[in-house]
Amino acid sequence: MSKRKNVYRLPPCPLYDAACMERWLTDMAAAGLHLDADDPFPFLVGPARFVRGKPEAVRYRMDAQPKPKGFLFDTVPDEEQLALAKSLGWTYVFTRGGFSCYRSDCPGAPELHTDRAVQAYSVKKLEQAMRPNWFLLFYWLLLYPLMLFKTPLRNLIRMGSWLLLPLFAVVALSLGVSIRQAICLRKMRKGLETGINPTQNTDWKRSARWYRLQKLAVAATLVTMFVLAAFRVCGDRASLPDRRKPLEDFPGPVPFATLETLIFDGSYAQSPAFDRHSNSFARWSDLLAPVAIRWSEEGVVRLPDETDYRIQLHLDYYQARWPFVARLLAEECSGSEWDSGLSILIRKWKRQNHPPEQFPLEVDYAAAFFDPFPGVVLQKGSTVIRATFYTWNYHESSLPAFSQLQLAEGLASRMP
Amino acid sequence: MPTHSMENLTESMFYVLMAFQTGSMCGVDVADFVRRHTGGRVILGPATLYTVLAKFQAENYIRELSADGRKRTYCMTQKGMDAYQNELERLRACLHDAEKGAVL
Repeated sequence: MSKRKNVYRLPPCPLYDAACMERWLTDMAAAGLHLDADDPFPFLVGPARFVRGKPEAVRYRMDAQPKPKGFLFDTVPDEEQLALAKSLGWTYVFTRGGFSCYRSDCPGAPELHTDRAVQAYSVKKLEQAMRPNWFLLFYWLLLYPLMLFKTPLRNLIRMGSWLLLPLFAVVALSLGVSIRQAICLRKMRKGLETGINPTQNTDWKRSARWYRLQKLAVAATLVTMFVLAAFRVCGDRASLPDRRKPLEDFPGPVPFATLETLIFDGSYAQSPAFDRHSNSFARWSDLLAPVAIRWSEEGVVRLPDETDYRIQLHLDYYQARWPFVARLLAEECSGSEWDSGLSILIRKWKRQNHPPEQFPLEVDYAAAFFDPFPGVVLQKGSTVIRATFYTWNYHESSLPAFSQLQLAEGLASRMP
Repeated sequence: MPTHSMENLTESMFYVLMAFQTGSMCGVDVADFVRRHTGGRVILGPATLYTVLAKFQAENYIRELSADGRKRTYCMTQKGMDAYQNELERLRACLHDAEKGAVL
């Protein structure tokens, strides 16, 4: 019976824990498993690839590369360096994560590093070279989504705030790995500077189980997140047309004022729907907002002087789980749909320093905006309403006596 | 052993500068020189040698003369020469002190 040529093993430690990695690879070689030098993506993700062979006494060494090119790209040692290593009995295997791996099965070969102070210097250079990567990581994982993500809380409620949990997990894990890497490199450098042999007293078996469990947890979290996201995206595509229903199908009483109750002068008649989005509603539930309704209504107002105006109302209604979420949502909603998370934070800061004039209404928060049509945001307790409207006819640009204030008063009067 | 990496010249760094005292050479030549000159007592590991060369280049102790395929040749600068002389003086002083102590 022939055994498989290639076998895969999960590493017991990260690459930057060089001493542990060296000891593990050496122990694997002693057990007849030799790291596959032909693996095109060694240690990129998941398990490492080994070739089954005879048990041999092989030394593996991880050499810090002082000039990594960036987050994903490493500097491979130049040909002269490789030739010299070869002439001294060391074979280059791979470079990843700022470390180059060499192996030697020649007992008489000198150590890859024969001067600990010099080795400490190369680790220090690696630490310095990796600092910008941590800033980049912080930027891409925290700042960039904040700047890019339009109206984050509203979108979160729309997409499903449960997505936040795996997202936070990924961000926390990535930052955690970076911090651990910094600590590990610093510890290694300090040890070398005081003359300690880094591989001395290193037992990879001690941390292996915990590290592998961590890796599996990260992989499971990522897979779960992507599956859920894919499911959500596909689910949304399939269900959005169905989720939008005609207004007359709304179950029970509508918990906010609609055009019929908002029009004070003249009569109102709902128009027949142009498409599935006009005169329709969508109702869903989320962890942060158990009741969320998107309401689109369109009709014709006939004033006492027989003038007809078309009018449209787009309203988002949220019954948040907690009042502070409602307040955050209201503050976020008081700007343009295209605001980024960062501009919302800036606006909040400005508002704290220069409070805007608010409507004199019996609500906890009220604000007016243009997006580009006039709109208002109201918050009372856990309830948030964001409404935009526009009116037109063939003669006038807007309906007289239907202002933002009138809309706000009408909506506030029906808030619980 | 220095408390901070590369604060002083270490033994291997000193021998690398000593090699360049004799003329321009490439990394392999430096390794050979040090091994022969010390009778095999000091052997430079490949990673140590290239880290030292990179450091010396950054410190302007040596500069690259030519690159011929996989072989790069370096020569010592005046700054490197001064560093070598300073270290030599320090070691001579150490030796002198030690010999004085032995007589007493």
